[in-house]
Amino acid sequence: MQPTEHALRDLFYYTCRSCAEVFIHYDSRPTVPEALFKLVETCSPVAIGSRGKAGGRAFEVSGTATLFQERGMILVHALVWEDVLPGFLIEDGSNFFVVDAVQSLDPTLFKKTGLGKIREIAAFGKAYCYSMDKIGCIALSGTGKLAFPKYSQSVCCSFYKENDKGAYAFISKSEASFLSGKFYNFGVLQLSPQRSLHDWNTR
Amino acid sequence: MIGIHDNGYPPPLMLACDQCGRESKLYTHYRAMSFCCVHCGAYHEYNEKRSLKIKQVITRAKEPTFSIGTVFHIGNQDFVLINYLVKEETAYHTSWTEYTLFHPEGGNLTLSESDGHYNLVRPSRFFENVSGVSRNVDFGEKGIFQLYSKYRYKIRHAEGEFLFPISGELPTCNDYVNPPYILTYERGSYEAVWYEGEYVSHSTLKSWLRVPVVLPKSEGISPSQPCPDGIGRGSLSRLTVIAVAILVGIQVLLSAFVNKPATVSAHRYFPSEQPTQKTYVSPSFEISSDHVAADVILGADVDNNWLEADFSLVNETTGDQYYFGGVAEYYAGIEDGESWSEGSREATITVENLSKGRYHYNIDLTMDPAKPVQRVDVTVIQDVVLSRNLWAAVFCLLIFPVYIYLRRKNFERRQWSNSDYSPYRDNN
Repeated sequence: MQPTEHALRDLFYYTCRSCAEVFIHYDSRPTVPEALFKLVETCSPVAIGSRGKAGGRAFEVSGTATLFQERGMILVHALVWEDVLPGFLIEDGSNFFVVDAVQSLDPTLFKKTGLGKIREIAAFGKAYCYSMDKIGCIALSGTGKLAFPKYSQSVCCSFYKENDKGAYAFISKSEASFLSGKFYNFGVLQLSPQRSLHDWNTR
Repeated sequence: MIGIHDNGYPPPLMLACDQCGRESKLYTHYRAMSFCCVHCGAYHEYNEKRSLKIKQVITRAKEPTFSIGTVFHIGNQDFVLINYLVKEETAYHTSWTEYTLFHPEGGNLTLSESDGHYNLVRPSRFFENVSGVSRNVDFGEKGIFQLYSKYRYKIRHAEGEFLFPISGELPTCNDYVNPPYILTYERGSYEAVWYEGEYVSHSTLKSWLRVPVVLPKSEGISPSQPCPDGIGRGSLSRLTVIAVAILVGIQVLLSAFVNKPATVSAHRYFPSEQPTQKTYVSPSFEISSDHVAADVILGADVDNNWLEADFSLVNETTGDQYYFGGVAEYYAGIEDGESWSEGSREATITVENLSKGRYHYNIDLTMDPAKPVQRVDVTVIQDVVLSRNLWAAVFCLLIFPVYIYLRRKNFERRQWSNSDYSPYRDNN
């Protein structure tokens, strides 16, 4: 069975629905990435195929990248907005973060950032860097555009800003993607269908 | 749907310990970054390639109050207890226990217990650029928080699954308090995060549980414990100010619209013209309503001498008499080139609760025989405002807030007795 491809831009992943093999599509040359970890259950309430709303716009979850870091784990869900543009929903512990904009930045941002400091970031403003963690390995499922062009030897930095705004930066030696947006409580996203919570914790 | 096993959350993952071979439950499945075997204490940690390795053996606590898997109903969500940690502060070796509660949608909460006192703590989006020891932080609507302690900790006991590795570095922590809230800044090599928490009473904690539990007895006063009087500091100040303002407002209204002072008698006497006469009787005058107060104003042209007047106010209808007296004395001079004066040429005596009717007063004068006064004026004004009543009411009103204030100060002094940053200097 051939994987489904969304008409997005340069860098995508696909998981074959029959063999679960993952393909990275980069510069028109599909490759099987290394250091992929098998798809696992992470008790995420965000399921591929579910639909939701953020900031008045509807979206559908098309894929999930599970980033295993040295000190924790985050999920980067690929979204397709109602106007077919790609987007991201980042699930980080208790935070659900919807990306409004993606920028490319100078990869030396990591050296300039400074954990626990408030820094001025071009085209974003002052933000507080609360987390920096190396990306160890990754699991991919579904389809979608990657939020980060290279996950190996990369660092994820997390930022808070005023009024529930914030950003995530994925920084490798050669590239840096900067994803800015807003934190939401899970219930506000109105995801449907949802996983049932009936007796989930008493079995 | 792709990516999940079914429409519901799966039962816990059973993972065998590499050391003892027995299984532990992992409620968060592969969200966990490490786990500590509930049977032998072997601590397993995933490396960056997701290979699970035993790193050390951590001894289990003797009797944690809550066991792994306990369900807490908080808000509308059922959180499950997935681990506990006993942490020990490195300088003073005090210890406390932290229980992590997990819900797929609600995230992670920490129930922290120290000396039988509990706080429910969650990650905060508060951020403040803390460098060194910042003594105060402003947390907006939750107010100003004061630094209570600064410390590092190590793990003494652990059990269950963890969403981050618990081995390795010792983070630096700052605790700030503004009861019932607590704010913790924790900084390590990977994170500089803030946690916000709130004090939880035993009754509230028990209401979250489906089964009865025996909680450890609370000892001492917790840094985030609110004063048991149940009134916030700001609320008490606001209520007191409002109550005093209302009292003063009522007084002003009464003065402006209800009480209209009116002069009902004004007479001048000339004692120097009749030196042998010491007692005078005033003409009759009318007090126009019941329960009124009247000012009797005694004025005299005293100048470096004195005048004493004894009054008897007589209700001509009932025969009731009111006795009172007043002194007018005034002295002035020049000493060492500077002028001075003391006393007053006027004295006001207030008579309360007069009945309606016709009155006159008898006045008996005594004065300095070497320098008798020339004239004496006596004026009677009815319906005067009794400011003394206002001050008595204000005094009574302030008794409770002052009592609460002193009680709270004593409570806070004891609360801060274990802090290196106490605002009560005598603790140091």
